[in-house]
Amino acid sequence: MDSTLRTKRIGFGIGAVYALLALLSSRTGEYLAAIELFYTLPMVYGMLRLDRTRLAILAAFALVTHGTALLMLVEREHRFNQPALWLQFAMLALAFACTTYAAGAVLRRRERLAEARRDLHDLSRQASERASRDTLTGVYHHRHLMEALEREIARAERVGKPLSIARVDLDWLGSVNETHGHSIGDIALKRFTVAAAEALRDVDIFGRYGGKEFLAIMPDTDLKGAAIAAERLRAAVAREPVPEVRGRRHLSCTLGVAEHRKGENTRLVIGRAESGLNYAKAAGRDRVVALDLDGRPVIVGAA
Amino acid sequence: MPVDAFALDAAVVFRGRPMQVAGRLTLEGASGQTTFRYHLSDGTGAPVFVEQADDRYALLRPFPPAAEPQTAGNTVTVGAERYTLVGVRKLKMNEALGLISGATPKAPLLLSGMFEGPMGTLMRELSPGTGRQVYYLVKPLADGELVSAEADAMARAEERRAAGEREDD
Repeated sequence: MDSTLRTKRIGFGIGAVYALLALLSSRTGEYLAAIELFYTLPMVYGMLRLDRTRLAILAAFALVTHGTALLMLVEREHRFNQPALWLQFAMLALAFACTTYAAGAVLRRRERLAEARRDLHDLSRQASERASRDTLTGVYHHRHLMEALEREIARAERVGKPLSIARVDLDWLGSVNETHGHSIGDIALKRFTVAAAEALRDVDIFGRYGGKEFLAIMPDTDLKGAAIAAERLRAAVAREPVPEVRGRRHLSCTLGVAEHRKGENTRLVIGRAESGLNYAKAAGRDRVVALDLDGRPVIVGAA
Repeated sequence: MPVDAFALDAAVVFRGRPMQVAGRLTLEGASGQTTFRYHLSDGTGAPVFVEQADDRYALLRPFPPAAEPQTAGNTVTVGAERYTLVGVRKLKMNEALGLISGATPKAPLLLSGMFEGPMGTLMRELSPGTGRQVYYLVKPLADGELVSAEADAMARAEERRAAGEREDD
């Protein structure tokens, strides 16, 4: 709730207590001290909800209205014991001062609690994000990819839009691992994923299928568009330097592209893209092979 | 039969991914040795085909069924890459359980030609009388790339135990 609204609400509460005090005192001709207890309600509420400055203003407002009520009463009814009455007023002012002071400490704790709650929310969001991300490369992991592909296939069939996928393999990672060690292989994997992900559109879904195998899901994209995108990805990766790997100045990757056919499930469409990838590997790697309408492999881009 | 052959429906872990043996072919070579061919599935991803001879595994990566690499004499050409024949084997099918690979012909006899080239090993497989031939890229698997789910769980437990001991230090 907005703090201005809270201030108004508490101010209204103080005003109501003042009105009650003035009304009953004028009717009975007595000062009803018990009514002062009602001030505790808006003040405690204010202590829990407002900062110290706002609460101090409200406390001053309460003291002014209450003091006015007392003055009016003393003016009209001369029989009141004035020192006792003003001592009571002073006690009320002291109680308000203590409440206002305490509000500062409560506010600090409230702020710490809110910060802890924000941290918890951030951690929860990060945990959820990590649960769908590959820990090494930061791209989506296998399970998330499969769920995304199932979702995109259902959407493509529902709206009648094309959907294509590309199975992507980073070339020669095994020999890099053997020659230079897995830490250098991991660097190559990370560089590859950054270059590949940047070459794709925001709507495309890219993730690690397993090991050095990756999958790109391209919604609303037919085979021709997917082949162009795959070649763009291949060229972007081929430009990526790997100074850590001696004897290999750039990365390279091989891709198999297939367009989803109506009624096909995830296994079938990935299987077709993978068979294109296998053909591309055998044909020399660092190239893109798309399967045409008859399922024949066509090399659409190569180093 | 090798003692560590995977049974049909066995839970396995292939390159860290839990899968199941959805199909198994038992093949017998000319000299009587047994070879298994597994169809592994994880339900959503593409199937994985693995061949086991003794305790060695090789990944079979099928070409598109409509692919027609150029063949001339003892060579097969894929794109610009040329593969040369290095061996032929004849396999008799003794048993077929569960799913049979979409690429492997379901036939009593399989003839495999192994070709070597700069990009690795290529296998051309055909079944006499069917006229159908299938191409695979063959990649030997390293130790630990395909293990039973139990072996994987034991390895993980051992890793956790070792990590715990390091923490205690």
